[in-house]
Amino acid sequence: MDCGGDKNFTDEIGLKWTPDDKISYGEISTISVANETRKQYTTLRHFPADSRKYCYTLDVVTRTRYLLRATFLYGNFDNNNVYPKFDISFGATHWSTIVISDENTIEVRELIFLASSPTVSVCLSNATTGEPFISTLELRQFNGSVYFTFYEEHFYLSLSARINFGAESDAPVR
Amino acid sequence: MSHSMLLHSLLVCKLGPVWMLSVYSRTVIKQMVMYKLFLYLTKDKIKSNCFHISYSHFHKLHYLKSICFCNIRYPDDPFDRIWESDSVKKANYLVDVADGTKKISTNVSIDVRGNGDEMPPVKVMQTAVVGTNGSLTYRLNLDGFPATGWAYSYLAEIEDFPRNQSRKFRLVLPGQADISKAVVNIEENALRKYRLYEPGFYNLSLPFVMSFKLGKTADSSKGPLLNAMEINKYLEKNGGSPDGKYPPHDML
Repeated sequence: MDCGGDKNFTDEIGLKWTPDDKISYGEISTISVANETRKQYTTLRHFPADSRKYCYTLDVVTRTRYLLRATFLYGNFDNNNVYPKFDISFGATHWSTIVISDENTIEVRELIFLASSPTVSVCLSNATTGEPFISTLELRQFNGSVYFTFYEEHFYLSLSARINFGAESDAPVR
Repeated sequence: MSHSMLLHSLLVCKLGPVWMLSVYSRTVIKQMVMYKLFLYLTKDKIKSNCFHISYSHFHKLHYLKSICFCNIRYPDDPFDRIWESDSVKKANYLVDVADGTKKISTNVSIDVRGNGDEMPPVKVMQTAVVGTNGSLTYRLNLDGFPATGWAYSYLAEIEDFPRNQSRKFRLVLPGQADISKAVVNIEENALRKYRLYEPGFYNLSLPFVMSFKLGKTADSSKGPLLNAMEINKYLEKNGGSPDGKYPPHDML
């Protein structure tokens, strides 16, 4: 999902993006960041820095494992000199605190979960500086027992490192 | 064969009456290659729906997979995971690298059906680092840690060497002596070269600043090898309240 986007499109590596235009809260901003031409990162949706939680709800198939990825490219969308800091939660679980420390760096958070209900929600809240915002939200389904763990009824897997050693360039593989 | 070296492997699926091809590298398939491929497929009277064909073994039609893989939609990773390059330069990311660390790569396709189910991309498994002085060392910060985590390495022997040589090594983590008891011999554990072996720990305490070492055993002629690794933190679920008030602003 291309947060803040205005239409469906397919990017240069074949990923299909859809806008988050069904959402009625938040405002859209377009950013301009050096060396970032990918359309999905040039728009974002930001929310008021108040005491509420702002959530996206996604449909899933129960008893299936998914990868969930949220990205954040600040790009000084608010022309503010203070970098945003806010929380992201997955359902009622505090997932991570997003701390922006650079205008041009994409922050990425990834979670692997076993769906136990037909919908899941991803929420932004609790901005201590700036406004909560989000650039993209991606959901990918796994097959079979990929990432099965003995603890999956009670724990999610939150990605910390996934590294390709001996890589021929700085570019990630996906 | 000039353009063919660019291709690493092909995925061929029969979807109803139509054959669909996916290319593991992003190279455009030349019409001639497609023609040849169909010819071979017809000749061999293939009955399953999907085949994964290593292009380097293409002339032998070496089928690496017969499982159906029809829903691959992404360039290299079947599940669209992102595998970060070890060449990226940033603070506290893969520092304290041992002298003698060298990058190696192969064009031979890797069989990514290993002892686990995670199926790292072939492209990721075709590159690795080797410790030519006997060890690989790295330090990196692990966001979200200290915590209990899921930490796995993805290994495949991608160097050809004579049978009288060997590659055996141990993982060393500070303060976790038990971990070093196990000796890894990738080729032996994976049963052959160019096949995935996925050793790791599904329940491991790790610090925020993680240093690790892969050190060769005294009787190993080769230094350690590492193709890829993945570390996840266990994030405990919060059941929340079931009263329907959550989330308060359900908007999509």
